Amino acid sequence: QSLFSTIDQRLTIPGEGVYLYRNPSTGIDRLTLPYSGRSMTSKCVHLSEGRIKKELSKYEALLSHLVFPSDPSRTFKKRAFLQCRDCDKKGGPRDSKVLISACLECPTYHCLTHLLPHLRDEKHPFAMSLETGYIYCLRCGDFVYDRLLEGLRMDSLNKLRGTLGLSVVSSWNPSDEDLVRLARSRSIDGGMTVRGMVNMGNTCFMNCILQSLLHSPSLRDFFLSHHHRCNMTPPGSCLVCEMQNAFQFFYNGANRYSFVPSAMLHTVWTRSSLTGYSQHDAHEFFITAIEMLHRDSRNEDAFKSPSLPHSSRDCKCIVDQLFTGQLQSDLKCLSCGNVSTKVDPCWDISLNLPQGERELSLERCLEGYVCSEVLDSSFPCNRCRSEGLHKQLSFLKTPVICVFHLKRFEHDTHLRKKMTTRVTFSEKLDMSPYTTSYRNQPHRFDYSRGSAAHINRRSYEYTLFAVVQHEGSLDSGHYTAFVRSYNTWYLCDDERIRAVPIEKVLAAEAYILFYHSTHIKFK
Amino acid sequence: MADERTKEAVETAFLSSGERERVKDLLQSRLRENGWNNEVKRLCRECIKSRGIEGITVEDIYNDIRSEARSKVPDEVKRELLNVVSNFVRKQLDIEEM
Repeated sequence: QSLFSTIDQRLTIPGEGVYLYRNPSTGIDRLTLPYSGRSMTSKCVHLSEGRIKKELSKYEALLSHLVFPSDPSRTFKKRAFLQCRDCDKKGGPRDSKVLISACLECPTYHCLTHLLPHLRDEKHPFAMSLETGYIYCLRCGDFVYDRLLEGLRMDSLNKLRGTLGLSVVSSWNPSDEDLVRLARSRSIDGGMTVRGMVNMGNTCFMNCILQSLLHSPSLRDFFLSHHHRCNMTPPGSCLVCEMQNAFQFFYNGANRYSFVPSAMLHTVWTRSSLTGYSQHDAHEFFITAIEMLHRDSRNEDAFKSPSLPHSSRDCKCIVDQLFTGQLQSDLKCLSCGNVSTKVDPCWDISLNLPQGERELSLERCLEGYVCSEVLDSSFPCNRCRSEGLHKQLSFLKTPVICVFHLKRFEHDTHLRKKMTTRVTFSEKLDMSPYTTSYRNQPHRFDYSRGSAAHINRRSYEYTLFAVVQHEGSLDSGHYTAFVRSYNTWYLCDDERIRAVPIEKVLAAEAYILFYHSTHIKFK
Repeated sequence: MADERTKEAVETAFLSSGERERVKDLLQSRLRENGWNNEVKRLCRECIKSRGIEGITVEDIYNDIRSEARSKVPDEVKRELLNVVSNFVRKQLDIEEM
């Protein structure tokens, strides 16, 4: 007995043997496994016949009153119904609080097992889980899915999540175009994404940065989905194009060649001061590359970015979206209490290494970065003119990708030596203590005060994905990079690639650290 | 302290303050991060394969995999959740006493 009224098109995903059936009136909402013609998420005909679909407001009311009550006055009701009295009395087959459901015809509440006899006896065809809002159909004997009702359920859920400050939950319903594409594409086994890079003569300073960028998750997604469509006139020498080409080459599983970054080098050479055959500073290259990518993004139709330097609040280029954070500077006068605030964009974080320390942690460096500093007499308070202003930095907005530059090289002094301080760092980093939110409301981040702290801190959690290492002295040194691909770390030394345990990464003589936001919220 | 009315008051506060939903969200995130979701999906698939897809229901799968899925919840997730909830209860009891 088939539950399908019409089968319009059958699309096959080869290799998995999954069939998607398309119903012309409702779109795709069925999935079938190959060993039988039966659908896993059968369309419940009873739902369309039943009154639920005609009485949507009733379902919605139940959702907002009992399942996802955003109004505190209603939560009392929910609590009252979260128990199955039959389980308490007769002793249920499992805990009495599982699958508590409500009959959709009358106000009866039991765990599903004890609700079934009621549904059968009274011929009430549907029930709803109080925890999730999913609908149970007596005649199908199972929970059933309907796209319209699911939409209502998600709306109600997201309304509650919104009031609690949680992120929105969304589902992806593939369009017909998506389905055609899915059917056509083959699933490629996640192949090696790491490959060597040729050193064209002291270019390891560039190679290590490129390796790090090529393994930046969000950046990779942008370039592999070919987001950059260039209008540069005359064509050629757009660094964004070069970057895109690099990504496409790097992630092409069909070949295993080393990458030769000659085009990239040429582009940077001809348009910046990083010329000559000598070794340059990797961090300098990073800043140069980022600025050039930002500038060249103007060639895209998608948006118009303002002139450089970065006016990050308006610019939507991929570089600003990922690397630019906002640094707040508060100047407080202890005499008159006046606080003047300024917000500046920042696209990397350069950390001083205090003299005389043999070893310190990244967190300690960050504390030093944001800690209060007393300004000297050359900066008096603009209200009362007294001296001794307290300056404090904090991150108003942390970027998606945090790049930490450890200032090991003093270029401006005559000394020109390298600070070999050992800086320890971990795979995870919590940026919340250095943020403006934390400065203003530290209790929101206090674990002892409840779950809200966990949620607030999560948005500032970062995961390490690349480390640029500098070994040797200032004049004769060598750059290498550690990058993470899936969950394996690799040491990239120009053309030589080697898998390494994470302990080796954490023991590295770090110069630049790349961290990626662990949880990205989508708006 | 295990006074029935206090217990009810704490449970109601847990729900009406939104704490229950936040804790549930935290639990779901931790389970996902620790790969528990993928593990349970695998158990579900195995269950469906062995029972056959004809006539299988959510309840059948639930009954089959329940104890194994529960045992696979990582200890640190349990510890963290226990901590969060007991902090809340402790704070509520302080409030109740006043």
